[in-house]
Amino acid sequence: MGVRKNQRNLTATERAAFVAALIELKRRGTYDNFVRQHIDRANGDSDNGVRIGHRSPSFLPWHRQYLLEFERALQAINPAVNLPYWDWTTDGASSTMWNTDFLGPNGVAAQNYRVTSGPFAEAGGNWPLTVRSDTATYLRRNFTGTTGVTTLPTAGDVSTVLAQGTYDVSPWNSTSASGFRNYLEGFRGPNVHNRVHNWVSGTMAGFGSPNDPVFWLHHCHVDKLWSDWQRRYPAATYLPSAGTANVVDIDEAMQPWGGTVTPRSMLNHTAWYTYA
Amino acid sequence: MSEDTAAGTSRRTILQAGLLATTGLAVAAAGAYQVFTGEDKAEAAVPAPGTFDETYRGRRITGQQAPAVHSLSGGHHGYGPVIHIDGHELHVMANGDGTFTTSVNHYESFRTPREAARRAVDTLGDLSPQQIGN
Repeated sequence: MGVRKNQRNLTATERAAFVAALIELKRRGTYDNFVRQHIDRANGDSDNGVRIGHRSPSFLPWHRQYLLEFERALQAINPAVNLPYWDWTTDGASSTMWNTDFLGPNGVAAQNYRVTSGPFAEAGGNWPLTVRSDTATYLRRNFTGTTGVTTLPTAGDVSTVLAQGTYDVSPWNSTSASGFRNYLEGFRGPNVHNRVHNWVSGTMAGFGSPNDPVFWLHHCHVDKLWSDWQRRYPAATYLPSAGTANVVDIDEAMQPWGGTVTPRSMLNHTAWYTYA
Repeated sequence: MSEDTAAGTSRRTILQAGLLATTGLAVAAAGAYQVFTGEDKAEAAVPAPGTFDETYRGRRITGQQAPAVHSLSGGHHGYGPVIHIDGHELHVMANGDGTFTTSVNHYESFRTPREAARRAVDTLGDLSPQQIGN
């Protein structure tokens, strides 16, 4: 069982091991399979039709399984690697997370926000974007977003989200007016998960967001907040329970995994990992 | 979850008709939430036009209402508008509250297809959208 740490608490060795495993996963072609899986899901999810990975209750268990498979793929390369999480309430643009020994810095405006240094810069040759939703073959970041005014969620925003004691509400999509899931996903309430994608911007803004390695650290924190919520409301659970059109009920299989991978099967993560 | 392919197609047809009929209501409802970033509030009361052809920051952006159920990139969103940037299709879908989301700004909602197209240009710079699977 692994321990997922705040990225700011990783040792230099742990940082280097994480970066090396990412680059090796990319070299083997496995990384791009994960990107494709996310784009396929984003293409398919809509408020008025089938929705599994986004704008739906299964946003959280879907990404929990997605991250777990990604973490296992990294561990097949180096068993010592665990996913770290990015707490954006404390670590912003000046975080050491963006140092050139780890995820690399913001993009350069004069080069259309291309990331030009660090392990994932185009020039290094380790990080060509091949599965994409735009023509950029290189990683891009534009902190504070396209409009230049996006801020990262605050601790107060997270408190507002965690105060939602009900997991999700009808109509179980991006218009659900309350509920922990949509507040955390960000279509209603203070906007948490979506806002972080928009703050990093560039590659992180679109369907191909997993092309930026920070995707995994961001979603690891989202997963941690779900874990925090689960401990805070032990009597609450995933909703809906049954008979909901186009939405994954608690005991229904989640695509693309199917079989025994249901929201219920994802509720208790402690056999696989814990958070420090 | 209960939808096979045949049922899904007929359901989308119904949704398409329903979406067009209720667009005004849906946009009004969206205004009640803090979906939007603030600028150009007067536009919120106007039903999404969906049809436009203009040059924005040097890029030609166009939007049409989609007559077909299927888009290039999958059948689920085909009842919405179609957007092109310099002739390249931008994947767009209609959201449940009358807003629109694209593949370039997957985590944002826009009041109109034109606003979504402009923001995509802002985000892309000199890049173009690309349909996955092509």
